[in-house]
Amino acid sequence: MTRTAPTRQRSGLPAVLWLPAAMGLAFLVLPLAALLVRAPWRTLPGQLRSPVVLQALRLSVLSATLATAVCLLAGVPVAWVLARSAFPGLRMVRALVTVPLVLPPVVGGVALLLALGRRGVLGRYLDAWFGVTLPFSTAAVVLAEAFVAMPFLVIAVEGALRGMDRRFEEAAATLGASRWTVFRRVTLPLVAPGIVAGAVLCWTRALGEFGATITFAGNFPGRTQTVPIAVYLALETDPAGAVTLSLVLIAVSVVVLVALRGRWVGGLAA
Amino acid sequence: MTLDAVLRVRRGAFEAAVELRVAPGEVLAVVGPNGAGKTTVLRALAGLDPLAAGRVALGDTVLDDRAAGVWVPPEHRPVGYVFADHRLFPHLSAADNIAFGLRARGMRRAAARAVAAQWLARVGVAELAAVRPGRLSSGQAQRVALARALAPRPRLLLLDEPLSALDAGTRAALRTELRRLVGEYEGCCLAVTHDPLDALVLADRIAVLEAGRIVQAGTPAEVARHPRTDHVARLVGLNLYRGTGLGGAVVGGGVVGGGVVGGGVVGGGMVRLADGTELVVAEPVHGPAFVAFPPTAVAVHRSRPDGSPRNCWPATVAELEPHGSTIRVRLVGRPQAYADVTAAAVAELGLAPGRAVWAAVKATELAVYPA
Repeated sequence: MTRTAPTRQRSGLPAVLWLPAAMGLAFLVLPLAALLVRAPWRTLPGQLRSPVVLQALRLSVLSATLATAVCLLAGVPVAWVLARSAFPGLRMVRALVTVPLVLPPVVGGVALLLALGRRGVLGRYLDAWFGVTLPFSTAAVVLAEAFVAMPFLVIAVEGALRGMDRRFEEAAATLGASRWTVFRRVTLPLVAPGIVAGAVLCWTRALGEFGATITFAGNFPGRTQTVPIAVYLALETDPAGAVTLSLVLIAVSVVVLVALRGRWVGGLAA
Repeated sequence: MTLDAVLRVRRGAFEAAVELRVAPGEVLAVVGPNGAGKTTVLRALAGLDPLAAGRVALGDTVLDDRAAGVWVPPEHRPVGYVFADHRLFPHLSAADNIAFGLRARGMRRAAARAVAAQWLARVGVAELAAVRPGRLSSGQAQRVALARALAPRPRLLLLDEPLSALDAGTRAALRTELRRLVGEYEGCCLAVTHDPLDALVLADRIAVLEAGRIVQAGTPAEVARHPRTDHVARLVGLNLYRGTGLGGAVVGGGVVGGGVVGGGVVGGGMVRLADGTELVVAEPVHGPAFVAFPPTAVAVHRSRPDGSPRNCWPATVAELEPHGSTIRVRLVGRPQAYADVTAAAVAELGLAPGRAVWAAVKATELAVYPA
């Protein structure tokens, strides 16, 4: 390989791009900075210990975790079907899976109500046969978050499955492994980084979910009031509290991302 | 449990159509250039690719029969497959890789671990049980891959260029190991290779595959004696002997070792062949060894040549077989050898069956492998 030595180090970027790039960055960073500037730092420790904050935080973390579990159980098989099978309408299915990504979350919430509400297409039977009413319960929070967050997991896992070296699955088959054993002992471990990356994305998306949740699950402190909903409501009555809650949400997301970054989120790029 | 296969496999526009029969304990080497369809045939036998037509049976068990609509999926075939790129599972340790096939076939964890440990020892890497494939050398990885394929006791062992990914030194060592393992193996073994030495060392019989067809089959000696095509001549054109390395030896009162060859001082050595003949080789070697040299390395002379060739012996021309621009001469003597010479040389030397000549090979042309 031959390479001519550059006479002067040049970044190769046209100067005209620098200004809009700087503006774009400022636009992204400024609101976060404002949040930090206006944070009631002195009263913060006390506010953090208030039952409302703790309750909302506990519910948020719990429901986001459960929603991620739901997404893993349902989303990994969906990703597998999208990545590995061939049937007429596969492209259609793939498009459907990504619909929640582009759907306004509020619309998602309305759709969930129409499907699983007491009078819903499916919900009326849940109510009539099992006495189960989903809306405005913690389960509804989990479902709303899972609905919105699932595409993130499916896309990440499908990508990992497509990028995976299938020769290992062949080798496993010649060793007598059934398809299920191959999936369990070879495919899953090899795409584990992709699954974890997808789960992290899914979890952070679920943690911040607002529109679908408030529509489908409402706002009942301790039952369906997650941190984002609490932030929105506090903005009217207690702006300082809203800022505190926002900081908590940011902190949790950042901590999770940083904790997993080196080990797992790298799998997103792979 | 003889392997009986008549198969036709398509891969795009390419089609391989071969007939194979391998007896238990026998090793058939399928040799041929890249793209001849060697791997295609192996994959079809393992059930990884479908047959276009044909039938594959192991003893009474039919694995594949297009006409009868029988197809046994790969995971239910009693087949072991060693891939050129070992394909060890990167997330499992060496021991767990070997145990994988046993576990998949229903063996309990503890029992599978024990068998895996035995196999690690058998292929000489017992100390690497806990190591993941990413940290194994290519030679170690291929040893583990061999053990993984053999551990579930397959009735048919398929070796797909098992030595091609290795460097020369590792290759010689593993070839020896492979020969031992395959020798102990009681099932049918099919090895695919483009290296004639691998084929001659490992195989009881050779089938030469070209463009999806078997152009010649037989024992290594038969195929080498009458190569049916130019390509076969090049492919299996190798004089190969078993012998015993004597180290740096004293011959005829003079020290052979330390002779000047090619302008540099090298340590020399001797190998005594089964017929008592001794060959001078460039590197000292001890114990059982293979000596190999291509027919093109053999010079044929009317009288005893002077000068540098270290190995020089009287022989009689037994046969002349033309192929392409060269003529393969079979020389009877001690040792027997094939020489490839030009048509001009045949005329000049007056080579004909019965003619007494001298054969000469330089020590540096001899490749020596521990056996």
